[in-house]
Amino acid sequence: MSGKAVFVYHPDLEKYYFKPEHPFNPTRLRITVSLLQELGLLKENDIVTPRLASMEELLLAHDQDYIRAVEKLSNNCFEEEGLFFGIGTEDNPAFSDMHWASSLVVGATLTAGEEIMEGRADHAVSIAGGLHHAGRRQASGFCIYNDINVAIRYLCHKYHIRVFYIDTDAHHGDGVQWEFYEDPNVLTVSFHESGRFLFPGTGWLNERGKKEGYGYCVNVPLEPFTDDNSFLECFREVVPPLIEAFQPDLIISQNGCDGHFYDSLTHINLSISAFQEIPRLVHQLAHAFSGGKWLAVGGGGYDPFRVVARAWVLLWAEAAGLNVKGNIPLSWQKKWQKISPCTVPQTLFDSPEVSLSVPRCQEIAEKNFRAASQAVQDTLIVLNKYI
Amino acid sequence: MIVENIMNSKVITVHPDNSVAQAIDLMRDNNIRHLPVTTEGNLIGIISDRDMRSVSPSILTGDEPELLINTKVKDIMQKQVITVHPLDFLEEAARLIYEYKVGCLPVVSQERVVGIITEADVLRSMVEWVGLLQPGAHLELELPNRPGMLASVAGIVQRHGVNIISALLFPGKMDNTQTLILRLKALDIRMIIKDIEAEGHKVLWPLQREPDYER
Ligand SMILES: [Zn+2]
Repeated sequence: MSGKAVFVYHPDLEKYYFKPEHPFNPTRLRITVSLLQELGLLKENDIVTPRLASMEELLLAHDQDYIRAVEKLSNNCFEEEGLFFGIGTEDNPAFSDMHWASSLVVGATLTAGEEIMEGRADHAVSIAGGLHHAGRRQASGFCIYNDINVAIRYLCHKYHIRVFYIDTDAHHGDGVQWEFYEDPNVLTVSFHESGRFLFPGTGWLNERGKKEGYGYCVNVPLEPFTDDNSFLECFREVVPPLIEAFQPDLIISQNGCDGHFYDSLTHINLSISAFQEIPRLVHQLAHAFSGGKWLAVGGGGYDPFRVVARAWVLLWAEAAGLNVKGNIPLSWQKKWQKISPCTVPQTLFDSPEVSLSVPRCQEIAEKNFRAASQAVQDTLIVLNKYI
Repeated sequence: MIVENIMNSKVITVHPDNSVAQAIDLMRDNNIRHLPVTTEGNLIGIISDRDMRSVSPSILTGDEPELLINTKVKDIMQKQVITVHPLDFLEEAARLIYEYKVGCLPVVSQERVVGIITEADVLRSMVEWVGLLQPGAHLELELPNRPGMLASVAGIVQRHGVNIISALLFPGKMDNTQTLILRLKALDIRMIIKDIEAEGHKVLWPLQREPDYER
């Protein structure tokens, strides 16, 4: 089981850079690509250069005055008016060329979508994308433009397709959810640490969509300290039956990896193995139900050396149907140890000795599973009624 | 926040001489559970779906239409009505609902019913107060119960340029503490937490990780 995969990338994507010390650091892109190359997993002809999103395309998912403000703040980062749009905060400081760099991120995800829909690839990976918190007129949680929303709107409009969106970032995929909340052509599923504990504080079970879109929004809030077993158990309970019932033309997955136990921004306890298993399941489902069409974007992930590089290497390997071996080349370790604040990993997977003693692990799994079962029930009723 | 801001001013009322059957229809058609009883706009009682159930246990089966038609609203209505004024604080309405275990309060001004406020209205406003509908991060602190603590925390948040969406301060579990719940408009609150801890305050949530990850 495999299909042709492309990797949408250009070093200019690293210009989406807020400031030094900011947790959302584009170094993670560079070291991921570097690790892919050192492992011999990424060839020159796998790579597709992203285009820039046009103003017209941005307008599909953002308001004009918001885009204007982003443009203006790109030249003068100290404009007061930014705060009204959520820019100029510690989370989302303005940076020079912000509009251009953000448009390129959107363009990368658009390019990935076009590669698939034009039949040049079955799977496309855009690791710079996945900015799922941005709203129509609001920067939020390190996201300026929402590449996912623009791409879904663009692809639905141009190719008349129905999209299944899966978000496994540790934070709720609020920006995407609200954009398509009343739209039955886009089914959004988000797995995330419960809003009781983590930004953005939404993604409750009872957020199920509205009007025409009722049932087409699914949320699985998870307890802090959720581990691989519980996470994957919930994923298997929810995603396969929904995809089968929804019969999408395209699957989009957001692959934030901030749920890893090393990530200091969340309290989810996944190991690297989970970031192999999740794309593997999505990949299989794409071949079974969406004619192989699968667009994967990146997302959160704030431990670049120990988590992001390894997680997204596994994401690409899965999409491209490549086998991965356990060790990380010494050359890569040497090269990046110089700028890493922690010891860079020697293996692609976490060693089992780094086992996590999580108190009440059984209770957590039980609670999560109950949420997953409830989440899937109502939507299946809606889907089975109409299909 | 005053009652006037959240009350529903379209009030559906019933006349004391209406039949219970008519009252039931009114409730069903408007999907409500309480009807103020008025004569010419003056409140003289209230009737709830609970009152009706007690007068006719078999209402649901519709076995006794005679009884429902012949019984008048005034025969079963509650004459002691707990009300609020449009200028009362929302907290006052919440307290009355809680203490008297009622589902709603007619809002009365100059003897006339000008609105109605239900349990659900009060809850909804509280949810909005707490800012649960806006993206934000939850921070829960235990502070010493003495002046200046809120200002100290707010100062730290301000230094990080972060907006406070909502703040809730209430007595803590022990007499000498207070609990402060903040909802912050920020994804990354690690530095704020660090500074708050450096100030000597106790962070109840987020739980700080046990340091046994890297062995
Ligand atoms: Zn995240």
